[in-house]
Amino acid sequence: MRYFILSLVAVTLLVDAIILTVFINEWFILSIVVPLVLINTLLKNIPKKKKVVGFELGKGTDIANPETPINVKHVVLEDKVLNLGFLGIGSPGSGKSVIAVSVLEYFTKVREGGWLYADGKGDLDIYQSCMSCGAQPDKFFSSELPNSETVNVVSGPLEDVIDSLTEVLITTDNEYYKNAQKAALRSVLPLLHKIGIPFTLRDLYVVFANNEASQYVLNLANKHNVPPDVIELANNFFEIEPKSRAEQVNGLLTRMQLFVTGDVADRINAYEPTLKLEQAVSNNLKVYLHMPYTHFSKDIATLLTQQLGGIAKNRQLYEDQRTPWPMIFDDWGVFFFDGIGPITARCRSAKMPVSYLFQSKGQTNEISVHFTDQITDNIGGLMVLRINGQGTASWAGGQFGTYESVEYSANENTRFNGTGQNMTVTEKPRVRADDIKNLNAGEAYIDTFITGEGGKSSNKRYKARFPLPDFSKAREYQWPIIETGKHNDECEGLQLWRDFMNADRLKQLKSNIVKSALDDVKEDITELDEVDFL
Amino acid sequence: MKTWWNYWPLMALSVSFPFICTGLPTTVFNGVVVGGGIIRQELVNLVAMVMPVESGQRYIDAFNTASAGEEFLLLLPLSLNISTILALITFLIVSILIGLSNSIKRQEYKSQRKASKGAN
Repeated sequence: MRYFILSLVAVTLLVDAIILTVFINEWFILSIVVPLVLINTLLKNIPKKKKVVGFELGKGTDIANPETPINVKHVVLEDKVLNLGFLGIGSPGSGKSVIAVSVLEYFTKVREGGWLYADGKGDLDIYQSCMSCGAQPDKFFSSELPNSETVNVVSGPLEDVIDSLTEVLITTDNEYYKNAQKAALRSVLPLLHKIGIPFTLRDLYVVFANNEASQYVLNLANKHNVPPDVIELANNFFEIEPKSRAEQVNGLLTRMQLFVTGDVADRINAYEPTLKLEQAVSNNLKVYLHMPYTHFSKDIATLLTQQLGGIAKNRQLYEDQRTPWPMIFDDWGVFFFDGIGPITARCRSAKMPVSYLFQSKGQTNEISVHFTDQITDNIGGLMVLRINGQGTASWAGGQFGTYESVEYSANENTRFNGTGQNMTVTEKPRVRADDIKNLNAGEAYIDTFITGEGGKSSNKRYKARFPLPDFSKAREYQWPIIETGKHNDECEGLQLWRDFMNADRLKQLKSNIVKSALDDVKEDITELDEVDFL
Repeated sequence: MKTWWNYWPLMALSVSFPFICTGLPTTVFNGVVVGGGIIRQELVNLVAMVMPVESGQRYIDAFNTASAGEEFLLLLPLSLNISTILALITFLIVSILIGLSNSIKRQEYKSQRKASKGAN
């Protein structure tokens, strides 16, 4: 009716203007312009809105009330939402990875910022898609491929290193050995850390496995003025009867062997790694972690995630101007570990928002039921793609809440010539499990939470389809071949692995030391003679 | 609940009323001239008064020599204006009426729902 009235007014004004112009004064035609502009504005009913900054998905539907969906021309995932992280959930083939790539494309091309993409699937397709659409990483690390960046999995703040190694290396259920191994790490790691020379997991292994190496490290610690309590603590550990000590750390050493031998070991134990996560964050670099799931890649992922948690802590403590550095963990369900909840919250707080894409709620429940709640409580957006399983689909649908459905019925009683009306209000789920099961690839139900100015919050719910990035050049790309940085032998470092794990080299070193000591003694004797002579 | 479906005839009447009035034929009833001609003449006089003298005179001259159909056409712009004004007034009144009536009804249902849930 509003449109009819406004149209009628517009026609009337136009006719008036024409008549007045023809019969009275030609200037009257101008008088129509202002009212027509006014009416046009009213017709379109566009109160000028503040431009929303974010990832534009295109057409969609506002499903606040799914019975009366409102078509939306521009569904936008606001930066405010992306900066809180999002949770994407969908069955295989539902388009999770494509969504991840399209978000990365947005981060790269529109926001021109850095990001971290951790791919738990490891498909070449995803890497090719990233490269094709322009979301090209600056750094590429793989737990599988031979040519990728090098890292040092034990770099970072001491407490974080202890936490991550405790998480990854101590796997025994026996409380006695568990505590003994924790004590071993807590005794030795501070010593290595305080010496101030770069060390790797290989050096730690040698300290535990080789008595001469442990003695060497103690001497080095004395030379580098390491606090006496730290030396004493380590010394107490090294003074444990060798057989007993070996028994205690045997499990630890067995676990460590995975990380110190083999092809990948060279790339995760670099004194001067080509990928330093802390620098990547501060320099806003784009980092691609290629981690196809194996037990080994899960351990590496845990170590790197702990490092990210440490970086987030530093940002929280010491940086007030934080540039967002979003992280997307794709197909990461199997990589979750106990401590990831607090790390996620800390990262979000430090403007390193974590977004997760996984297949099933069961994957988060494996950690704990509370972890699922922690994720959904901490994120800014929920994207539900097609889900095959009833359980996960019902849970995902439940996240969109309910709406009040009003049923109105009118009847006419012909016998008594009367009419009756009936209105029923019921609460219904906004999104049903069946709706989720019927989604096409790339289509998603989206729930966003934003706290705006003055604490005003907004919760918008859409059904939309993510745009498909340009994958036309995908096949032109293959896995990158990245030049390895400086070899460990050329770098400054403890070099225990090089010196103590090679018998010939150790023999040579020892003979050099003995020779040097003998020379010193000879010099002393000569000096003594001189003294006597004098 | 009231909607425009309940009131659209009123709007239709408001919009068409001026056209119907000015379009009625003229006839003599009991020696008195009645019908659209009287209304048309009154309206033409009214319009001519507010128009510039020269244009007003030309308008009256045109009206004097016009047939009933031509008179209707000459008054069409004026009818349109009156029709629009009536439509606006009707829209305003009915909108308030619908809003008020529905608001009362909503409150009634809300109270009933609350009461059925145990509230006082």
